[in-house]
Amino acid sequence: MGKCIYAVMLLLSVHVFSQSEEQPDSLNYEYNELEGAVITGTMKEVKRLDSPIPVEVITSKLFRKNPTPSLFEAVGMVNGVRPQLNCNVCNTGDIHINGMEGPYTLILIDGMPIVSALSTVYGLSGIPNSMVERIEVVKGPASSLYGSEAMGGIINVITKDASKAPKFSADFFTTTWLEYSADVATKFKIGKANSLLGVNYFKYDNKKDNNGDNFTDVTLQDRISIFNKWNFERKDNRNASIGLRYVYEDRWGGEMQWKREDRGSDKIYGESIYTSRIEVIGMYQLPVKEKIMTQFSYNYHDQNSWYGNTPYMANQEVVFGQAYWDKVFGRHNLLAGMTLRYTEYDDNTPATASVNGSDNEPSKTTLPGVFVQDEIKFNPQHTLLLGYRYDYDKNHGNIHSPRVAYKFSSPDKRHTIRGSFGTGFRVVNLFTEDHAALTGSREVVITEELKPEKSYNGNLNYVTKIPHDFMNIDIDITGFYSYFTNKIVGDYDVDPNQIVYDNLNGHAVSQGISLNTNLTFDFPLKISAGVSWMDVFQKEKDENGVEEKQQQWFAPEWSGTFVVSYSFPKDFTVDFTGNWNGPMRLPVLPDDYRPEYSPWFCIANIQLTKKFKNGMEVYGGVKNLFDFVPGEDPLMRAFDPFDEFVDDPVNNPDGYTFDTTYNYASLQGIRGFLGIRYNLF
Amino acid sequence: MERFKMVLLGLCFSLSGFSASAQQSDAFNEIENKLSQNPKNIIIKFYTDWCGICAIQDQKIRKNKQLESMLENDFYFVEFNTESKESIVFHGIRFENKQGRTHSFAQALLENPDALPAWVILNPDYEIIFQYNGLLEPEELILVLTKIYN
Repeated sequence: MGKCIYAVMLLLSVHVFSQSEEQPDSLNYEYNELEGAVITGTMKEVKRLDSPIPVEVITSKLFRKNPTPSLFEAVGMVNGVRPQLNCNVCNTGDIHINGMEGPYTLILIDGMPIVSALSTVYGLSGIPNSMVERIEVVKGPASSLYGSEAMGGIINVITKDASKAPKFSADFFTTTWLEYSADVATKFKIGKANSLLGVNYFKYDNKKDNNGDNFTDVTLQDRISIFNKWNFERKDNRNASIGLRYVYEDRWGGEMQWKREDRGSDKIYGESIYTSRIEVIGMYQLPVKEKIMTQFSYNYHDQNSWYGNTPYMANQEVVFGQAYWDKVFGRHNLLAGMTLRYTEYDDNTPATASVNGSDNEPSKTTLPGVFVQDEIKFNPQHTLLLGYRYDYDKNHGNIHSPRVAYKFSSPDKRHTIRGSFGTGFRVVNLFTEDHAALTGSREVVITEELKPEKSYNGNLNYVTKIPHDFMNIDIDITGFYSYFTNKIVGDYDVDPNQIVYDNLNGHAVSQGISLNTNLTFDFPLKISAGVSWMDVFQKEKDENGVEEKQQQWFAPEWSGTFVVSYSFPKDFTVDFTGNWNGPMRLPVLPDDYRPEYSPWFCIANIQLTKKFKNGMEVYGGVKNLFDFVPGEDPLMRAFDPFDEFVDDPVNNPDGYTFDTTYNYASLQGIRGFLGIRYNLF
Repeated sequence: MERFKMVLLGLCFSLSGFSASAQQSDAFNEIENKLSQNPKNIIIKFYTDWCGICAIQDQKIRKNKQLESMLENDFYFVEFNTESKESIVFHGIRFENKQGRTHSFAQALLENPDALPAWVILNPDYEIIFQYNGLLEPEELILVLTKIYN
């Protein structure tokens, strides 16, 4: 497009910022990545600021500021999202959004609900980083588009388009705890098909017991996952892709002397879990003039596990299909679709036994739904979003999920206000949520018509920008109120031969305010910080019919996240990242000697990265810089994991039993890490 | 009465905001019309709505009267939103943004269209004589503009 005269540029070389002339990713500009497109809010790709539903994004760039071996930990970088470990022995966990427990969070991969119930945790470990384009987080329910489980929030993992991925990429890192993570991906092209093939391997095989309870502090893990995605080039830029993922994981935690032959032993306690999982995800745009997308997925999840001497063998298959029509009519942006989700679940517990108890009867759930959405853009300032979804479930009958959202942007785009009201629901899953408690043969009894678990949410969001000539402040503030009705619980105490399911007499509330800020300066410093205040509680009627209020477990009233980045000349970058939590209520035993509320704590990490021109990057730093580890016993009666000596009024006057759930932070203290990554485009 | 004026003012803003997208292509048409009668260099600043450093850049320009008047009088100054979905015709070439991401105009003029703010200066023969990604201090910009103007 013409010749360049560089002489003028020389004038600038006196200034430190002109480094950027040679170095593409440099000091004083912003990269068009953080605010890129989002899709989760409306199923249509739009710029983040234009989405009527607020969507938070973790880009791969943000993710690299504190590299973690799995996405499970990475989502904790979003203010108000908390990866929570539920078991101090096996380290399985779930993701809490605004204080609500994991089953209320819907995890999607490329918009499809293939990670549910049994497999929630494993959906986010074993996704190779090289496959992930970005992670989108929507707080608050979105059942009007996504159906069951989208009650408290959504996490949507968007995988890379094979045609846009690097030709070759590799990322290795290790820590002083001898955790090893390797991520390698390559791309090739056959005819009109672009293929991205990646392998992720993680190993932690270094037993540690720093707190001296003879139990492993961190679960040992050996995990491989393989991902292959194909994008096909078609006429008129139509979409077609298919992806495959296979994950195998072997993890165990328990007494230090545990060996593989002790699996299921009643002498040496160990929790050992083998997981294998296969996923197929595909998308195909119909070859017609109208924009009609079809999506399909299948996954098979198998868990072979022993918790001490209790076996738990389960497998789950989910088939999902969806088709939707995307149409613009003047100022109406329409979306209409239908969807079907089929889940088959089986385990070795009586929950999936037939009524007589002798035959196995796997649970089968078919959940059809239709949805429609209209986004009306009155003018560039005012947008109204209307959505409605209908689902049918055999236990609950008809389920309706409406949503309405409104967005206003000031003409100069300095101010954006969004308000929304929506509902979420979840069909009861009678089997997978409290399997650990199952022993012996029980009949499943449903005493009354079960209502679906529902949530109602309203939120108000304000985004603004305050520019000065030396700095710019972005502010994003959200107030939220969610009301959760009718939790369905299994009662084991009515009759020892039965599990009785009924609707809970009570409700839960999650309310609060979250504030996110970004500070950009005219020198290469960037600060992002978020603070959340929330009040999450349940109200339940006791035997006398009196409502009792209980604070939600693991939902700190105050919490926050921060990222501070400074770029030095010669492509050195320092990132200081972390999160902090105020006191949160913990599951204690009756008369527990451990405090019911956790202390204030902060987990901070620092990293130095050096980029080289050939695409190589070396990074290293310190994780958990302040060396925070919980001081209390994470395990109750670690010396008696099989509860053999519980009935001892002298030595155990409070009648404690072995318990693994008292957890508010990892037992992993300060550690160094070092890594190298390489990208060839 | 005072309040009424405020409301009117707000209305005017929103109306002008409504037509803002149309102005981007008009600006280029206008320049091309003027260029034949009054040849000047064209300076284009690329930005996006969310770019914080771009906002800092604007404030720095606004605070420097000398710079503001140079941009206004000695050059044809255009600000271009790289995420704009509007098609433009420049030097007989049509540029568009079908995907709603980075406009093909920014891709054509910049080696790195995703690092913002970005500056491009073209001479009246539509040849690129300056490209820069990043924030420019007013003094730096004045220096560049003076060199080119003379």
